[in-house]
Amino acid sequence: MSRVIKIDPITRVEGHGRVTLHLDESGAVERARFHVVEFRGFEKFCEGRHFSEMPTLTQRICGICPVSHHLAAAKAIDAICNVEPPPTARMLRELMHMGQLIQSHALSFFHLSAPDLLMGFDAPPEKRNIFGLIAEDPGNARKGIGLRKFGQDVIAASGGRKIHPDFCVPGGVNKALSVDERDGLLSRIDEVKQWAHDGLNLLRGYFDKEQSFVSGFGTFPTFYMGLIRPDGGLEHYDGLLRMKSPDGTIVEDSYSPANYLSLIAEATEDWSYLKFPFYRAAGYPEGSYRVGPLARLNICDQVGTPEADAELSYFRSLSQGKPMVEGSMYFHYARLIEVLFGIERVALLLNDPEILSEDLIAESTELCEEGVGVIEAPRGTLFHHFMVNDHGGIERVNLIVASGQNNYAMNRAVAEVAREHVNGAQLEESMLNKVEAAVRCYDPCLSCSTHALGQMGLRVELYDAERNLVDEVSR
Amino acid sequence: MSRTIRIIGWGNVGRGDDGAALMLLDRLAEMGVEAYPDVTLHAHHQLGPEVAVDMADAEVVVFVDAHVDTERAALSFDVVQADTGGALDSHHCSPAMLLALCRSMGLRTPAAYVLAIRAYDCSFGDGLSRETGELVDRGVELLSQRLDSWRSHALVNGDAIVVGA
Repeated sequence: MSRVIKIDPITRVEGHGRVTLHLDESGAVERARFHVVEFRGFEKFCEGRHFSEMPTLTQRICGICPVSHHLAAAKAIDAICNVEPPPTARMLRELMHMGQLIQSHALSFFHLSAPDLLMGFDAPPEKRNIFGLIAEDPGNARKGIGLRKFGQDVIAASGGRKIHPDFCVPGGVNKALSVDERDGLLSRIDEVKQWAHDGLNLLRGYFDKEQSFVSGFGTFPTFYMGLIRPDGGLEHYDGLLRMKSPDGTIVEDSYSPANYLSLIAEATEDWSYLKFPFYRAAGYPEGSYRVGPLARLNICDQVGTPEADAELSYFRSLSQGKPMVEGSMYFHYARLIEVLFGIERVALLLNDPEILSEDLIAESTELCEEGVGVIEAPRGTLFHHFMVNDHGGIERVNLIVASGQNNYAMNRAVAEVAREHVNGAQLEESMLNKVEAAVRCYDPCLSCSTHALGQMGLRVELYDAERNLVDEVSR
Repeated sequence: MSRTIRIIGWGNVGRGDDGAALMLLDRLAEMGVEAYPDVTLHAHHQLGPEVAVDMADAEVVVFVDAHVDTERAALSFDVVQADTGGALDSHHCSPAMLLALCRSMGLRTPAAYVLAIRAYDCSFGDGLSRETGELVDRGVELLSQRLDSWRSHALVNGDAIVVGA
């Protein structure tokens, strides 16, 4: 008898998602799908509002990465005003962005994924959480919380508050950094940098111990896309788009983010509210690509800060001779390298005397018909595209968020992991946890990507050959 | 005796009454509550685990939130205890989980209360419904009295106040 297993909702990610595993008569996984079952339509809500409101409106999309939406929208309205913010404003925006990167990645790794790695996928579910982690490894759990707090404090210092700052305005920002704020953050750099190194060492130890499992966990080729600096270095706030093919060839380089619609397109499937972006030149699904930490480290020539660059050589060695690092589990390592990079960038920005300047806004009297803002959010490339009328009213909005761009890859990872680890004839909870962990590697924000409302959990359903529901597990 | 008191509110002011706690914090700030050296106000969109670190140097924490439970009093002020249940499956922690995090990490676990305000209309838009606005007024009054009491008298653990529906 063939069956279908549904994991619904998936836990330790943000938003509502479901996994269905179709089993054949022997209990082997025949097909797997990752469904996103939320819908919000945020783009529609914005129509009719004045374009200058967009940085404060769009940050309401998400409670996890409001800063990313705030900054991407700010860049888009800069483009509408055809204005370049002064250097200090740009630096302060990047400072805030680095705070977001650090706090988001710290929570993803230490609190949502580390319990599986440190306690084991087959540990009792009630132990696989932050409290279990504290009991098992209190030092690293505290460091994870400390990193998250540091990132939040960087956001608060730059934006004036931790939540929904009205920091960015057309052509700049509205708050200068004080000497006390700068010095307070600088005094913590050495400590938080050590915590990031401790996290990397922890993960490297796990990889060494579980090499076979990790290297085969959700490993498959895709294209990779992200922003890079003109010198090929890692970039999160600005830069140009680069696309690499599965064999490591740079197929698009120095691509203007404003022309993104010529670079990528979106496919739809009738079983998910989340679209499937793809590299236009390669078609769908062959042109499916990944974004986020793994993609960024795969496409860049160097990171650009000394301590993170030293970690990049180890990251590259994880490819096991392939041109790209393909394993989904290596997202975690890339994530922690970016935490270290973020801390180094915070230090560099704060040590530049220009950061204290009060030249914060460039003026503009021009109004363009449209503007595109692109940044690298923690989870990957984030596109905000606004079209306005003569009065500055929003006529149309297009938002393409990171988790959507990883949709194909999350589906593929779920399928690969399920085929490898799920035995429908002898179903165990730990098997399904591995399938969830494949999704967690991508740290998706499904609320954000479908512009949805709610929280995520997990449900598993079993279907027989006639597609009748025969079993169901929820948590 | 002076105490270190943190008032932590969270919600979304873009969703009507869901922003009740943040409006209450604004009101307390306008009253000059933070002029007291031992009282600080903290506004959050949601409670993340790092809030536990902020709590650890406090003797008293008051969490302020909106609720939509029709079975619960419209305005209630209750003691909250540490609880690891529903442990951080997402990015949001409950007050009970934050207390449990403090305890698990060997940090000081403050006395904690939840001031819960009924939300009647959480549709898109700024501003509170008339009913929730009145509850915020009563919540400000209640909290002001509590602050005066805590700042001048010994803390009595385990008490709970329910203000009528």
